[in-house]
Amino acid sequence: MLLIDKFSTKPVYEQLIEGIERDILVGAFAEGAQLPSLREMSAMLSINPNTIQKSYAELTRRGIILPAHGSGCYVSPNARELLRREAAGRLEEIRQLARQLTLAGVGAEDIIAAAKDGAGFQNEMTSKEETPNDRCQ
Amino acid sequence: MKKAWFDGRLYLQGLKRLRVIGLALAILCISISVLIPLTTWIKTANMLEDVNINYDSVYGVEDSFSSSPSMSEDEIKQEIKDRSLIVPVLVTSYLAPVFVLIMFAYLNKRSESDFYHAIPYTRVCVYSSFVAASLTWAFSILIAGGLSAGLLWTLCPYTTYSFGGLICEILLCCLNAAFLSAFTTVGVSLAGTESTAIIASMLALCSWRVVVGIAYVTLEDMMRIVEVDRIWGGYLTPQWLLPVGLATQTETTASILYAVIVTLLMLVAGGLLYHLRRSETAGRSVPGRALQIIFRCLVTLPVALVLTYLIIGETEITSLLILFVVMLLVFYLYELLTSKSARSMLKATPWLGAVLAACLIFTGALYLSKYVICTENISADRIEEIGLSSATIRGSDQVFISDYERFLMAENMSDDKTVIHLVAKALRESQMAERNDNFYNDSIIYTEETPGGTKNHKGFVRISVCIKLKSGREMGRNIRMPEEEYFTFLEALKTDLNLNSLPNADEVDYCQLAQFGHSCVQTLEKGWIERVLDAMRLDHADMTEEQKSEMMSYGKERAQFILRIRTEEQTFFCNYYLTEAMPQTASVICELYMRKQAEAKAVVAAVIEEAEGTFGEGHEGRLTIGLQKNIMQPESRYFDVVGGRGEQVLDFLAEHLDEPLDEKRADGCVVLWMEACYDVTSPDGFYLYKANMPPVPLLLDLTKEEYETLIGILNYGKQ
Amino acid sequence: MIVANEVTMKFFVPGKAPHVALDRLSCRIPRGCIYGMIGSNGSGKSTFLRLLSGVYRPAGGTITVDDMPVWENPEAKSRIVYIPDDLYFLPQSSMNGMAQMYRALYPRFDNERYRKLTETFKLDPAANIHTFSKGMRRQAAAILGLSAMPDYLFFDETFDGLDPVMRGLVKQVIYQDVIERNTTTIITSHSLHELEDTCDQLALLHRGGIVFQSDVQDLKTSLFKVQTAFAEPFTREKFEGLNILSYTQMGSVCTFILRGDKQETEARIRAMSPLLFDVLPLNLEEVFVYEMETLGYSFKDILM
Repeated sequence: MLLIDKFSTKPVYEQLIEGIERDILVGAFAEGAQLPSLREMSAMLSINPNTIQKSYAELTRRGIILPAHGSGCYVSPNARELLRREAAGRLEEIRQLARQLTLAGVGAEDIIAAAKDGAGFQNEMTSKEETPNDRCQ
Repeated sequence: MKKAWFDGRLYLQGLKRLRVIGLALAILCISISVLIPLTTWIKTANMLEDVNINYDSVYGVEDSFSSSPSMSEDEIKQEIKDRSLIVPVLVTSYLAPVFVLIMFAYLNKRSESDFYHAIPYTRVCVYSSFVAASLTWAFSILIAGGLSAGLLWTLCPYTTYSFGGLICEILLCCLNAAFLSAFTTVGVSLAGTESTAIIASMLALCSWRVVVGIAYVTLEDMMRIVEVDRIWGGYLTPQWLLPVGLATQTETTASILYAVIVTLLMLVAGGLLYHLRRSETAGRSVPGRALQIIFRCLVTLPVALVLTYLIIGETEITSLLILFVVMLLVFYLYELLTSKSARSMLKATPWLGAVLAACLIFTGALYLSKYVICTENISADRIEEIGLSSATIRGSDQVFISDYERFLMAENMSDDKTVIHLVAKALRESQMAERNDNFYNDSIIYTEETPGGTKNHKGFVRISVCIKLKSGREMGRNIRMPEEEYFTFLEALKTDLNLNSLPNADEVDYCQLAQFGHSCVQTLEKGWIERVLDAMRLDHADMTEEQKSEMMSYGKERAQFILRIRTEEQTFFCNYYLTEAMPQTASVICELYMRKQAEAKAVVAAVIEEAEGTFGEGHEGRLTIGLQKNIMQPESRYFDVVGGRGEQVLDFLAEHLDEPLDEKRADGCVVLWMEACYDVTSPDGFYLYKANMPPVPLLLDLTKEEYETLIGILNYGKQ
Repeated sequence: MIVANEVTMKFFVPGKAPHVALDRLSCRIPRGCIYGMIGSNGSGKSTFLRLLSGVYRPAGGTITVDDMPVWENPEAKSRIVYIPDDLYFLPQSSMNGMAQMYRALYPRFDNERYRKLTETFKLDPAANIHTFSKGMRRQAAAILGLSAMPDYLFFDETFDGLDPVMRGLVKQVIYQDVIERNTTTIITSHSLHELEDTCDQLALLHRGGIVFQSDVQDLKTSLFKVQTAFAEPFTREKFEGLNILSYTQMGSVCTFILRGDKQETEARIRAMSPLLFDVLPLNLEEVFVYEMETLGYSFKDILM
């Protein structure tokens, strides 16, 4: 589930944040569920607890996770909604990028194809997600 | 956590750290301490078995007894015992610094040093805990060794000793151990390698002592008119320069206090240095440039000072050259071996100059003191009193000085004008002579023509005086006086100190009556000493000078009194011989003999019985007889009698033994002393058995004929 | 928190001027931080740790731990354990023997932890330490140090001698301590790789001073590499305004290292209509090299 490459060029805490976000979206961490403690995370992934602390702090700042009474954190009830909104906010980036690409001479079809390709991945994920719910009904 | 000065857990760790070396030394010390009494025990037992000589044989007592006849046997035994009791313990106490070296060996290696500096204790705490651990081990071993030796001495049936003496000796050894360890703590705190630590400790211990010691020796050589001992209030002596244990003759309260104070000071210094120590010194010889220089100079200084001493003493050139080369070697080799760099060896050369400069200053100081002493103006009007060192006072041809007079001279000071004047004059003359290096030059100052036509070459007499000035200052000087003046000096002194007197009973602490040389000795009790002295005083009042002189000179074989007078520094023995002019004394002597008569008779009777049949053909029995016709007789006669004659002598004695003595005629009695050896045949041969005879003279009342008979038997045997 | 303020350390060298091991070094290490120090031999890493442990006394400046100077302060020292490169054990002692000594000397020594750690590391506590291999000795030292429950733990090149499994184990224990007790750890190493893995802060020491100090992971994002090409001839001036650290150009293709915001830069360059445009992230070592170059050092000189 959470795979961290300590020697990647991407900082560990960024990888951790992205990984937790992915797990929340995919459902590995349910909303309202308790996140692993610092100790468990540190032992599991063999990374510096300060780094984990940093990631948790960032996620808490964005409201994705909330501190629990006592110790530890849990996924906030509307985490997925928040994430979607954040992601959605980046649609504008795609528009900007498309504009730039067009200016650079990239064809509109290529741009759309690329967008669709990426979105397909998203569809895959959502379809996986819905199936269990369907079954319940 | 408060900043503690000491920690029990650290202390225990320290004890643990030393346990290997501690056990090794403990085993060594205890086994050797036990070995000595054990071997003495066995040796004495064997000796008694083989020879069966019936006297108390104690390790070393015999030798001492024969050399100090005037000490009582008990006193000698005491002294021997206390000294040789625990020599192994004393030797072990010199090894105590080893504990400190090993305890603090961690300071010499980087990894260990870092560890012990990182532990959560202040440096003072670490230092004191570890020093305490080292001393605990050292003291425990010394106490165990001493007590086990004591146990063995107690078990050995042939020896006695005082427990108090043993405890004192152990404590002194502990003090010695602490003393040496304290200097070692300074050494280890300063240095970073084992060898440098040892060098540093030795420098701390010995440097100033070496300087002072060489100054002492040089001054002694340079100056004749002053006793170096007396400079600086008497502290420039070996007792203050050596570790306590060595100066065992000087275990005075003052020297012990000195040792304790120095030990404490050094322990504090060691702690301070440990506190200030830079940890990175570990593994390197010295922590700083300053110390490197100091060590380098201090190591070379002793050699340089010895060289200076030799130069002052005008020794021959080859010795000087050798020593000079040695000095260079010491300086450069030390540098090379500690800094391991040839370059720094050369760069150090200017400091050699510093050492030589120090020697020059040293020399200058000594010559300056000599100059001051030789030029100070001590005129007669500045002097209040003169005291004398009795050791140097000798009589001259004209004047005899007895021991008691010496005692009086030592105890009293004279303020007689003549005496002072003569001393001042002699001092001036001596100062002049010293300046000209002429002090011992006995040049003839004048010759004298006597009626017989012979020339008398007069020389100088040298004495030591203590001059007390009116200002209160006391100074000791050796001065030389021309013989003529010396005679006047002595006369004046005698009159002033009333030297021609007899001792008072309370001055005398020990008195013996001796006859027949020292074969026959009786120790007197206090009451008797008084009576003897009173009698002598009565006689003395009527005696002429010549008779008084005779009383004090040995020449006849009459009874004599040996009196011992003790001062803090010296012991005086005064001998007074019985002369014809001393009737009162003679009668007291008679009384003294009379009181022992019963004992004497019983002893002789026993001998007569036991010796039955052991003289004569085929027997080796032997008698030694000393005989004096009566107490006043100036000569005694001695006879060695063997064989049949012995039998006859014993028969004669048996005849006359029980005759009553006319006490009033006691001084007319024959005085007899005897020593008998007769043989006892046993299954495996024979051996000579010395009769148990206390040395007491026997008085016999014999008529003239009986006396002649006895002499005849003694000389030729019965015809 | 460890605060070093203008700390200077000098060593006496016979016959020469004193060697300055630390030259006005300043740094702040917060509680719970795992602080890595890298530097060539003789750069002053061990000296710094020894100053922090109270073994040395600073020649100048101050060193405090939780606002207390360490020198001659048993209170502070009882919470500090220093595990040096050159280890010390009692002669012929076993781990149990050393544990006994530690128990006596360090008031917080925890027997339970000692026992657990020796089990975990599979070392025989009764065997003579001098029969252990070098790596095992390091483990033993680490175990003993950890069992003393310090608040401040210093590893001087300890990890360089451990195998990966052991390294992982020790790290786990350190992480636990950070979480439970907010233990502050300083690790020195020759290997950037090692420190990257474990530490959250990194400092480079050179000739007695901290040349460079930063959050490890931030370093990775501080710089990036851009490769771009243009049809028309151009020179470096084309990129005026961008914070360029290193620039190479071969014909119409140029490569440069950039500090700044990635998005912004990307937008700007794309606005220039390049033929080719690639943004590549840098690994830590590369970041280090370029950062050093801007400071005027050649990294190769420092690390080798």
